[in-house]
Amino acid sequence: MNRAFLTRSRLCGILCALLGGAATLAASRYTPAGLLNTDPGPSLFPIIGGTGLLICGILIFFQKDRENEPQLSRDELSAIAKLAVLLVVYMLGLKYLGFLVITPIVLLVLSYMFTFGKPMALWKHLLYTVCVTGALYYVFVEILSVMLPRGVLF
Amino acid sequence: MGIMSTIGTAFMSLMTPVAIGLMLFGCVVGIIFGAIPGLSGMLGVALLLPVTFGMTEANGFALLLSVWVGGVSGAFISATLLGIPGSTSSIATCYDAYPMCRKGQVVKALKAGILGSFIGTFFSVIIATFLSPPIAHLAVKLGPWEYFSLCTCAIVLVVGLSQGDTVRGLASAFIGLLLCSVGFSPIDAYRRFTFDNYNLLGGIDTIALVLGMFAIRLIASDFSKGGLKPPEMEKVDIRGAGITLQEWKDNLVNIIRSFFIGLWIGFLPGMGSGLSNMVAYAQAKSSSKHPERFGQGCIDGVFASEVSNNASVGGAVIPMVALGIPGDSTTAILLGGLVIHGIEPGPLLFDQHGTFVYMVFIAILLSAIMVLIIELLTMRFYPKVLTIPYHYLYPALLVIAFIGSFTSTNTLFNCGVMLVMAALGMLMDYFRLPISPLLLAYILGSMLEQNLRKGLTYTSEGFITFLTRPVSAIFLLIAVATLVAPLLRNRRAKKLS
Repeated sequence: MNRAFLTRSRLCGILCALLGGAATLAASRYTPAGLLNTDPGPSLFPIIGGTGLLICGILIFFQKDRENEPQLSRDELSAIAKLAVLLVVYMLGLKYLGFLVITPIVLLVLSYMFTFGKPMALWKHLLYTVCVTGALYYVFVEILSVMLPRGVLF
Repeated sequence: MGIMSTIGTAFMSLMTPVAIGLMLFGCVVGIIFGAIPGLSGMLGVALLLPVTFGMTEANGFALLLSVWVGGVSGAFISATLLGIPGSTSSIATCYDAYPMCRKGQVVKALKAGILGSFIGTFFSVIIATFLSPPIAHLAVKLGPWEYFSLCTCAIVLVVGLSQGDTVRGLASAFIGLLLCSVGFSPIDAYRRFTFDNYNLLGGIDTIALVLGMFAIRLIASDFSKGGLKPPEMEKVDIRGAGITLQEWKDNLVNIIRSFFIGLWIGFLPGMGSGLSNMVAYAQAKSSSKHPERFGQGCIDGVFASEVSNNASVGGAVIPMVALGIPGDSTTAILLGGLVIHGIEPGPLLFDQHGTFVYMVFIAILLSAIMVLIIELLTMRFYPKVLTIPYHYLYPALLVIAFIGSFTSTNTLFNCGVMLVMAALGMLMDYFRLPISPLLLAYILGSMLEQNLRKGLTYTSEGFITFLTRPVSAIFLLIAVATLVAPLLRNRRAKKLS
């Protein structure tokens, strides 16, 4: 398939149709025993959702894209990928290292990332990191008695 | 217990130092979230929802409701000072409040926004207090057929607002229905789409979905574009004259009309302040003797927008408490909060939790008064709030989002779900699939399925019963008309062209 064929609408249509079709197939196997005659069972609702999505996908496939629709540039995709990786690292860090260890590290990295290269003194980043981590920990754990991840390794 | 003693009990439940402190805090947070472009009171509610888990229902909801009221009200601040709406509820406010600011009428513009917001919220909630019980009493006479049709109609109404692309709106709604199907099915608790993962037995967590689709998606989107620059503010003199008595007299009809537009639109499920401000502004302009003044700094436009978008607050509360159906996205989140706190929304809410319902109304009224006082006293500081650098704000919001999704289920799996929902939200943005139908379908999906299966089980006539019962048939007709009308309109436009 070349790029000219795979317009945004066609890609959207294909994805929606695939998701809808898969959901419909999976849901059609949900047949618990002991159903009342008139009860359609747990399969009806996801079948409605899946079939509806499949039909919408087909209709979207045949739609024309809008003119001058803004495209995602490589830089934008790269930025989203970087942020996604960092957030996944944060999630794993929360699991293995705990909130108090990983949060300052991630906040430091994020605060640098969100300056977009603008120079800013390291001590400001560090102060911000320590204050926000401390404040969040105090508010959630001490005041609101909410448990935060402690980390598997500690 | 009589109504007056119920109201008295509800009032006293809020007259504690903790509740008042939480409402004050919520109002301030809401105003800040509403004022900063890109954030909103709804985001504030979503972020603070997990924080309320350890609180009593009264305190928790007092906090959330005050954030909501503050957010809807506070959105006018950046609309006035910068010409950037704080949220969709203040788009129309920009058209006249910002030109007024540029002409040096800052105080007048700010005061019109503050007082218009108060009028809209306060009186709409008083009306909601009286209208909700009869609507709730009527609602218990409805059967599963009517509820299914009403929920379908609500989702389709939102789909119909999908900027002319009904098919994409429907696709979004169907995705929401599929997301809602994950976990145990209602009635028979059959496992669906769990992939043998015990974390999915409870379904997709509402908090994770909302935080992912709104907070993470928004921040990631801004980051990918190179970030927003903090807006540049001119120094303005926050002193001087406010609104004259003559201007109040001239705008009395405008205010009343905009109020009822906001109340009605807020009442309709799926719509809210994002729509009401535009409709009220358009009406004010077309009814004005001097429509040419609109857009040049006319106080009428500011009143129309701000009264209507805040009147939607009271309007949205009516279906929320009387029917268990959200009036807009924020009430959808609040309904999710009700379920999390063990309170089942629906028409029996008045009978089973009457004190809680009146507490909701009183909390909104008190919040409206607090927001009025806070905004009048802090008018001079508004320009400074808008200059919080995003490299301080966004990382903190990301961490709070993670904490929120973790505390919702005490599992890090939920943080993963939140990231997946964020990715889904960004994909939907790329493909121009609107988020609102998904959110509404997800929230209403369980009620839809329960009532569909009950409706089919109670009679042997099958789906025909949904069409033979008059109220159900009317809702379904409205739903069909909403879907078909844009197609007919497009056909007619093509024929004419």
